[in-house]
Amino acid sequence: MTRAQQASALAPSAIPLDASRAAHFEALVESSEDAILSKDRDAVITSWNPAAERLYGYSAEEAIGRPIRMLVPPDRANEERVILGRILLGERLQHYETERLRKDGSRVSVWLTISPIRLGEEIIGASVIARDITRRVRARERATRLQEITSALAREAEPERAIKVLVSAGAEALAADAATVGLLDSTRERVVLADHAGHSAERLAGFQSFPLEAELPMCVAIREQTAIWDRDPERLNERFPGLAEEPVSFGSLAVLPLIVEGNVLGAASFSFREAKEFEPEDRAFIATIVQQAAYTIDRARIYEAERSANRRLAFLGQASEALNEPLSVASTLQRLAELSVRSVSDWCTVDLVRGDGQIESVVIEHVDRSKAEMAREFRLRYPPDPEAEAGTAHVIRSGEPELYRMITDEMLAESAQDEGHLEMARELGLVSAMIVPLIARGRTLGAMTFASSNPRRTYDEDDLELVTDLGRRAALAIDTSVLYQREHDAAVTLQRALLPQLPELEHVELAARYLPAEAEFEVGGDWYDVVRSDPGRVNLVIGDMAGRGIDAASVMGRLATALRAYLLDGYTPERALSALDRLMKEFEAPTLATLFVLSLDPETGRAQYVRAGHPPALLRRPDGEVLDLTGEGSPPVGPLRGPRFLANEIEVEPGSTLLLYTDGLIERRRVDLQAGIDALQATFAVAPDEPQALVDAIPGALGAEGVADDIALLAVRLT
Amino acid sequence: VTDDPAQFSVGYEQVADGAATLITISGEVDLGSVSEFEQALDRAAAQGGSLALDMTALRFMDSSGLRAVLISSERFDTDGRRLAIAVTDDSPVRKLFSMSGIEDRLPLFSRRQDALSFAEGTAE
Repeated sequence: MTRAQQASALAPSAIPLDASRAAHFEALVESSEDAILSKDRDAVITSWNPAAERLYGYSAEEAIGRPIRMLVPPDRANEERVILGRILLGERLQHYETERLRKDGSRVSVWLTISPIRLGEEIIGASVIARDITRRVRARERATRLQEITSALAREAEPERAIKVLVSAGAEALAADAATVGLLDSTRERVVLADHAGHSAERLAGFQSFPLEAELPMCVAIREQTAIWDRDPERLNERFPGLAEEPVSFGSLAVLPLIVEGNVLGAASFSFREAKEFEPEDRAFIATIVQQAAYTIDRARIYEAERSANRRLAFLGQASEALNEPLSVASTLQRLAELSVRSVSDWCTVDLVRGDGQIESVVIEHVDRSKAEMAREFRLRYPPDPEAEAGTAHVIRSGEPELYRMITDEMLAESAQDEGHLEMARELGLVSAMIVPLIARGRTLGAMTFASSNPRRTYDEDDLELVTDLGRRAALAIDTSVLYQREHDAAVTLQRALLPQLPELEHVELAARYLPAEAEFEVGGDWYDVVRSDPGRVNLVIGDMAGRGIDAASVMGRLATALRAYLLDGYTPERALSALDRLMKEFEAPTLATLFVLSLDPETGRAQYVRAGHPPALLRRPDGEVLDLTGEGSPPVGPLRGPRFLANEIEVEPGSTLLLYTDGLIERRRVDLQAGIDALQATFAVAPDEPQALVDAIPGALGAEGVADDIALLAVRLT
Repeated sequence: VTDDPAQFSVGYEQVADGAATLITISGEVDLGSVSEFEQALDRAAAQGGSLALDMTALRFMDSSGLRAVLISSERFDTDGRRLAIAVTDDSPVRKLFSMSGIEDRLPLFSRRQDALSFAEGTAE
């Protein structure tokens, strides 16, 4: 067929046309943007215009005379038969959407309009107008994908979840083979890899975080706030020498900055294995997805910043409460560290300067229990270098807080003392840290360190200000406690200095013990004494002066000395106590002491005792029977007018043991005094014979060590 | 005031038309709370008249509390004024008084009303 014949065959009616009309139609067909072809009743191609050649890739010579089947994908073979059947019945098909095969085997989406060609009454074939709708189909698919991604992003409230959607669903929608998202850190000088998909871990090993000045596609996209579209790996490698160690193995690359209202958050990068031309629609689609993600990340960050601010406020509130609690220094610091790792850090340590100037880590807490051990070992094996130009020791020297927004591997390597140090530091995975001094009344007591191993929790000036303030308050609390501790220690020292050396005696074994109250409580006025007097008597004294602290301890010293003098002079217990009572009335402040004084003749075993307001001493006989020496009681010494002190007589056989004590041993809150005495009696009955072993064992056996009151014990065994 | 039985509290009221003072203490008297107790006793001493000290709700008292009671008791004695103490028979405080050998030096009553009557001088 000639072209004119073809054109005439395509005419709406089968009426023969004159030559000029035929030429007219031919020009239309030739210049049509749509592919126009015809086929005969046997489905053999009979005409083929240039647009058909462009669409399907076959020239007219290649196509004409061949079956139309060659254009139909095998899975649609049936479709062609149905279409032809309908055409032969005189039907017309309009905007039939289907797929066809190109010469190169690729598929193309088309709209077909198929009409019968009649010659007279006879249908001799069909005309086919095919329009390439690949773009339209792709646009529709993209609109769907975009809708899916936008709603997926809308569901995410956390930045890292939004980023995950971008690298997974985003990459899938773009048919990218790999995707990465990098975010600027708080310094805005480094880019931190936030998430990735499709790349091997090795490929990204060196790109966990990199300086913004680096010649890397992401950095350029962020710095210049423009997208990079590239399909030439060689040029990419040349342009970005930073990639050169591991040359790019993909065909094309799209890198887009994540920008919200002019503020760059980071960049997203999509890699395609195939060299891919980025059409305007492709670019618009990628840009839209990235923009949606940027909005979501920004919104999520604002939300997270609010949450983190709330966490900080809650931490500050709880920390303030902890500081106001009447706890020991150690308990207070421990509590602060625990609160910290629950809300604002992953790791918290407190280092205090000891008396000898050494820095000691007194608290090491980590939110992860398995890492807490490692953190402790790390701190023990590698204590802060006192000469370091930065870190704990430096903060203590300078009194200035330090902020490490982003801890890089280079920083770790630089500060590491050896390979093992570096390895542990890496394993702890710290990404950001703050060290604040603990300063009270102009003196630096130590430093507190807060560290994060969460890449999303990096510290800034606001955080530093918060913990610096906390450091000041903690230091004040420590200082107050230390002053208190010092006073307590002084009182204990004084007390111990006032307590006598026990004499060496024949037939009498002696042991004594003094247990000061716990640090939280003030030291009391308990004492014991053993005084020899003529003729051969041994006076046992145990006393308890009401009142606490250094004052009580010094008054106790006066009482002990006076009583010792009276007894040395040969006074009986009752006379010695009367003298002491008169002496105490001369004191500037009213004073009260309870005493148990026993005067023993070791030769005869005869003894006299006075129990002046004091709990009864216990006597264990050689047969194991335990007696309590309650006898006839006398009032305490000091506050009463004209008190009468009454002596009780008792026989102490050889092999007997006497136990004198103060009420700290038996007195417990909400426990009856008698119950305390009964428990002591029971314990004493089975306790060791040897006096030293006895005084060592009794308080522990009664659970009386570390109680609120101090305890004095005096054990005497007659042999 | 909390529900904690360990919490020390002190109540103070004038009775018998101001001729006597009633001090009610509860909780625990120890070094942390004794000064509050002493202040109440000092105030009653300065007030004139006699004093009834209701210790029936007191769960614990240490030697500092004992000292405060004894000093106060001596002051009232010296002035020829009455001081009566209500303390239940089986309480730890009663045990402290007996162990301290001062039971017979203090007018102890097991019921608050008896202590009050004694302080007001309406009973012997």
